[in-house]
Amino acid sequence: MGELLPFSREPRPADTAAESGGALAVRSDEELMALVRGGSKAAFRVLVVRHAAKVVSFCARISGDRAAAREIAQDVWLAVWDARARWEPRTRFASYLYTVAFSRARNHARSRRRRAAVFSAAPLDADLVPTSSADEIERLLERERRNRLFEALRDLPDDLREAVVLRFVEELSYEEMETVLRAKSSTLRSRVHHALARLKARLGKEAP
Amino acid sequence: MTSPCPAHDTLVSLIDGELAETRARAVRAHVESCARCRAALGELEALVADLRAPVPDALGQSPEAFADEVLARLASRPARSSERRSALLGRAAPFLAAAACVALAVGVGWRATSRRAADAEFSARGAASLSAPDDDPRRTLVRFGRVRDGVFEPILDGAHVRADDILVGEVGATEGAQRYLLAFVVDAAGERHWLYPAWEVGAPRPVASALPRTASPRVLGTMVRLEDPAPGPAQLVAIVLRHAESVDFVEQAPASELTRERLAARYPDALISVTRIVVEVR
Ligand SMILES: [Zn+2]
Repeated sequence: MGELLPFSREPRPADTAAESGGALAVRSDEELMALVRGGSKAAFRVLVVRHAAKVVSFCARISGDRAAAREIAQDVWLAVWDARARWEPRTRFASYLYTVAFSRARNHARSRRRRAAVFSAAPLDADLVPTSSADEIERLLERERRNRLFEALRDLPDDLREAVVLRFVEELSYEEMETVLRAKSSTLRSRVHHALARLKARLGKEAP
Repeated sequence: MTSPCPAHDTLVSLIDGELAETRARAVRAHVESCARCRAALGELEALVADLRAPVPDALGQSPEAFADEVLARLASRPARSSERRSALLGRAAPFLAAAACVALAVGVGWRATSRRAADAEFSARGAASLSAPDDDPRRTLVRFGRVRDGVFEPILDGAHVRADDILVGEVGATEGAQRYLLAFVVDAAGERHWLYPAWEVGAPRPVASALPRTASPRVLGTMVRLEDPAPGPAQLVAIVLRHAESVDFVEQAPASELTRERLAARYPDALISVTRIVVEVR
C-alpha cells in the first residue's frame, strides 16, 4: 500500500530523545497535540495508534459505509495534521478529533450511493477461529450481533443515527451535540430515544 | 412494597444519564426488585455496549499498521497544494478495493437467483498425482452445524433445519496441500444457496474457498443464514477439492447432476459429502 518512508528522514525539531518511543505513550492527547503542533510526527503517530480503532468505527457508523471507513479515517488524520497549527490547546482533543471525523464521514454519507451489502469474500484462513470452543462460538455470535447492529444503525434516518452515535459512542454532552448537530438539546434527546427504540425493536425482531 | 414499573422511556433516560439523582435512585431500586424491568434495562445496556464496541472489520489491521499508512500518505503527497486531492484519490483507490474484500456481512444469507449462460471454462482438474496420503482431500473432515443458544449442533443426515438457523462449517485434517471447499444447499425447488464461498448475486463469481490448514476440527469464521429457501427436502453438499474451481458448474448444472454419484463421477479425487436435510419455514 505505497512505500513507507521512514519519517526520521525529515527534520524533527520537536522530537528529542525524551519524546520518542515509550515516553510519548504516557502523554495525554493534549500534550501530544502540543508536540504535533511543533511538527512531531512521532507524537502524531502515537495519537493515531491510540484512536485508530475508535475513529474508524466512528466513521463507519456515521457514514454507514464500512468499506470506506478506513479511507475516511485516514483523511481525518491528514486533516488533523494539516490543521495542527490552528490547534487550540485549551480544547479537548477528542471532541476536536470527532468534530473533524463527523464532518468528513457525514459528507461521505451524503455523497455516496448506498452500496449493496457485500457478503464475506475474505479468505477463510484470515477468518479462522482457533478452536470450536463455546467461547469462540460466543465470539462469532457477538460479531454477528454487532454486524446486525451496524446494519440497523446504517438504516436509521441520518438525524437519528448521528444523534445516537454522538451520544452513546462518543459520549458527547447534549450541549456539545447542539454545536455539532445544530439542533436544540430537547430535539436531540428525543432523537436519541427514538433511535434506541428503533434499534432495539429491529434487533429484537431479528434475533435468532 | 413494589412501585409501578417506570415507562420504557424512563429506562432510556436512566441509561442516558438524564434522570435527576433522586429519580434515578428510585428507578434503580425498582429495577432491582422487578425482573421485567431488569430484563428491559439489561437489553438496553447490552445494546449500548455493542454501540460502543468497535465495528467488526472496520479497521481490518493493527492500529500501528494503520498509523504507518497514514504517515506514508503524509510523506508521499506533494506538500500542500491543490494537487493534493487528486494525489490522495489516486492512492486511495487500492485501499477501497482492499477494504471491500473484508468480511462485511456475516450472518446475512443470500440466494443465488440468476442463472447465467456458461461463459467461463472450467479449469482442468489438477493433473498431479497425490503426493502423500495426507494430501488426499478425501481425508478431510468437514461437517456443518447450526448455532443454537451459543452451541454448535452438528447437522446429521435427516436433520430438520429451520430457515432462520445460523449455519457454520467445521473442518479438520487439512494439513498438507492446500484444499478448497465448495459448499451449498440445494433446496426443494432446486435453488442453490451458497455457504462457502459466500457470494452475492451480481458480484464476480468467486472460486472455492481456500481451507485453513488444521489437524483438529475448527469452526470456520463465517456464518451463513439461508435466504428464502423453499421448504421441504434439501441437500447440503460439500465438495473438497485440490484446486480452486469457480462456482459456475454448481450454479449452472441441473439439480440432477448434483447427487453424490454424479458429483463423485465428476470429481473423482474430491471429497463429496451430501447430507439430506429438511428445511422448515415457519
Ligand atoms: Zn418493573
